[in-house]
Amino acid sequence: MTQIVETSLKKLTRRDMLKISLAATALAGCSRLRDSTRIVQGNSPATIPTALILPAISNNSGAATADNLTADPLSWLAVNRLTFGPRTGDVARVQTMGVDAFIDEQLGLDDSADKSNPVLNERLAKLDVPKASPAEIRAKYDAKRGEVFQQMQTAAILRAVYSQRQLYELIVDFWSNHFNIYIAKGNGFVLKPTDDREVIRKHALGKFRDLLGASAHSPAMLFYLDNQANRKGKPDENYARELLELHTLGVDGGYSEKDVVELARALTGWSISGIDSDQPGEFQFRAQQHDDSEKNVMGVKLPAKGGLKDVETILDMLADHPNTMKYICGKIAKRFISDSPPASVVQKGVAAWGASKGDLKAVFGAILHSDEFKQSAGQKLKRPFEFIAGACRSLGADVNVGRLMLEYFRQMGQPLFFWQPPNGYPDVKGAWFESSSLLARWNFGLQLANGSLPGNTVDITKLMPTGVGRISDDLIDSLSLRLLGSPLPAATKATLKPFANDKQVNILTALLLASPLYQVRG
Amino acid sequence: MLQSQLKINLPSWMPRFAFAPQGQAPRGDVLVCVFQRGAMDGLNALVPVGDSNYYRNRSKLAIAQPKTGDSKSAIALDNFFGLHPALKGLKPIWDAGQLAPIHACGSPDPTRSHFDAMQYMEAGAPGNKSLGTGWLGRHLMTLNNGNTSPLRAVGMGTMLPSSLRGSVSATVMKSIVDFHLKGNAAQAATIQQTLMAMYAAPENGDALLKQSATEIEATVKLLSKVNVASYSPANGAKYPSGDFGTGMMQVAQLIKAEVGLEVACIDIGGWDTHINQGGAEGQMARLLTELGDTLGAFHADLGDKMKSVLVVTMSEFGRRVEENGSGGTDHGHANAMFLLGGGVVGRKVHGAWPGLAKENLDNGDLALTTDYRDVLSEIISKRLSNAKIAEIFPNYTPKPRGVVL
Repeated sequence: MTQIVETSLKKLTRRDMLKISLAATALAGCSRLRDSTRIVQGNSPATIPTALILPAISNNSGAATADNLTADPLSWLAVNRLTFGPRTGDVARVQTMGVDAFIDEQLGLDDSADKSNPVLNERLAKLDVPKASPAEIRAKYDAKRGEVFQQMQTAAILRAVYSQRQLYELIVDFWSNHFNIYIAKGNGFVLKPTDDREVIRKHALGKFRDLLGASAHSPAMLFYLDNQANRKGKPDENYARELLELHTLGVDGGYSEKDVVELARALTGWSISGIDSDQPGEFQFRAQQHDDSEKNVMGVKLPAKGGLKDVETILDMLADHPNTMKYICGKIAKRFISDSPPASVVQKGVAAWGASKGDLKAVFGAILHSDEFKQSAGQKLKRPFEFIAGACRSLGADVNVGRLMLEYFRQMGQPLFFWQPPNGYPDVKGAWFESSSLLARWNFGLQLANGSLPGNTVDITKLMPTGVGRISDDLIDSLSLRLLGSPLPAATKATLKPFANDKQVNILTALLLASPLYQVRG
Repeated sequence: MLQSQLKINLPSWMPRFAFAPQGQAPRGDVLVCVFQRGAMDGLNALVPVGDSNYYRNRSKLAIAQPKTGDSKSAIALDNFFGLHPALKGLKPIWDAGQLAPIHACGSPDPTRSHFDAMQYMEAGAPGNKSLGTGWLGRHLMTLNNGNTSPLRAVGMGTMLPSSLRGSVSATVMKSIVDFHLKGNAAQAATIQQTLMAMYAAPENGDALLKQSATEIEATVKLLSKVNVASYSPANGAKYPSGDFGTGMMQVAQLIKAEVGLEVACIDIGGWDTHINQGGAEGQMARLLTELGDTLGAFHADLGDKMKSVLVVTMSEFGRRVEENGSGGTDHGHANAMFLLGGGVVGRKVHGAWPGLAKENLDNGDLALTTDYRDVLSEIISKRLSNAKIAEIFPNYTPKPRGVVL
């Protein structure tokens, strides 16, 4: 907005009026946020210094250029990539504070950020599964496991829409895919909620070694990858292989088939307590099933009778291995920067990993603070989760999720926690984007904007600038700025003009949600 | 399995090209894959009525030997095998020489986990969880026959079946009736037109997005020709109600409409009959009725077109030979597959029978004598004109089984 101040004095045009109304909307949004769901907590209050906005109004100095209707590109990129999508005022706020400060702020938020977030907390409080132990889930939901899936998905979506810790929730989704667990495998549904809570959410921005260790002890993971069947003399290599191939080194990470076999032997006896025990579904080391002879994994000798220590030694090695750093930093860059990220930014992540001994805040920070990130506009498409949660945020929807919204995740091909193979939903767009999922996006936009997604409502009239917004061009511009960050070219605007009126503003909104530019993640 | 042995020299996805003229017929058969989720009890579907050990192990659940006039006894196929009476819908197909059952068949992987077994079977790579593509996906990827129809491969359901994962984008639809924009027809048409203009506009620089939108338009247009809402099956065929019957009817519609369909996948679930499986009647009989009557209707409906249509059924594994204490059967190993179509070597039950004597069992289960990949390889090479078997079934050399012409 600073450019507004620099422009010469001119008579107010209709465009100025629109711009002013947008600024006012942003401010109004901020004051609303202060009460309920603003992004920031604690020592960084979510206000836009009025001096940066007001001069344009009080001095009548704003020039009517198209630039005034364009969000600051870098702020737009940051909010689209590092949150599930911009709400009213978010982009202006980031522009004011600066992208780097925003990244640091987001990485610095902890649990307390959502303490005074009544909408989120009230809605999460209605869900008991995310907080429940395996025994509790088994007792209550054995015959209705579908409710467990729904509650887990609902909790994730509510957080994505309402949490102040937007980047954290995106990183949680990243790790949920990296350490993928298919929630519907057999009785695994009683275990996954604990994994989500105690492994993924607990360590998402902690030390990688802690995250890896928690996952290795996670009953949900051990069950999903069959390690409870991995016994002395009857090895099951499933988990051992994925631990190397998917969780740490990557498929070309320099291990051999022999290493897989040796690691599987080290993992014998890493099991879970049975469903008939007092504490079903807890981690259990079964010493009598553990192969206690000597092992050698990638040159690391594990002397006989190492017991539980065998695996810990290997996890230390893997968490600190250059190929692990490279593989995971590559995946982070792929998720946040580009489907084919430059090697230079991966290297920055690796360097931070080495210097910080695997502190994930430092690793994510190095990758996101990079020039490569800042230059990556247009390089990512929104995945279904980002599309759905983002649309809700951008329209200021009141979200309770509901079955139909979950059904749209399925139609778009990425229902949460439902990817069967252990590699997580693919990130590169060509691997998952296809026509039926795009059609589902179009229909989702229509149903959301029409208010026909049960449990979720949108007040479209609130999105319209008052007074001047009723003029069709301005209505298109204001919605384009909100959803696309910039006005549409004249030709496309002309295409949309028939819908730019009071009666069809919901269709206009749906069309913008369905538009190709809206599929781009900043 | 070593990853290096599995590398397929193709990118993880390949761009599709502008559509060739629509409506061209595929070169080979249209393949319809029916997956019976939950592990069908093949021993009660394709009954070894000539094996006394079958009756010894199944005192409650066994299907009686064929007996004229007894609708609860097995339907005789040859001197040794009979069909479950609920599969009476398949008998006319057998009589027409277009049914080829294969017994003691399946995936060699010993897992008894539904999840793993399905994944292995659909990947076309038993024991390998890291492949990321399915056998049908790789078949379509490696067969460049110039067919660019958006309906070249269709998954009837809400999620892409793992077998179709791969470079060629398959269209997933719960119903061909639902594949359009919501709202009344006139408004949907206006909205779609507006969207197509937005996707064609210069500010949309993403080729994949452009292409997906074009595919939606092409698919909607193709389906509008099919007249999906009002369809009367031919030859008096009556499809059972339910997802499977409706889905197969829609597959038949797509085949008749010649929209470029080459591969269709469809599921029928509910086969995990641990408890109260039933014999000639009951839980499993109801499922078999739905399966057999649907396939029978499909076969009748397509009539002459069955010459170039091949249906294959599969299930992740079979069930234990000995019935359990709850009137059901537990997870087993080998199973029965059914092939239907003009190109099968019909009127013959294929596969070597390993026998059900205790010493012939695999951990209490029917032993496997035919790898399912042998069957599928033969279909792919002989009926679908694709010779790239090594890429479709990595690290496996299929044996010829003579199940198709």
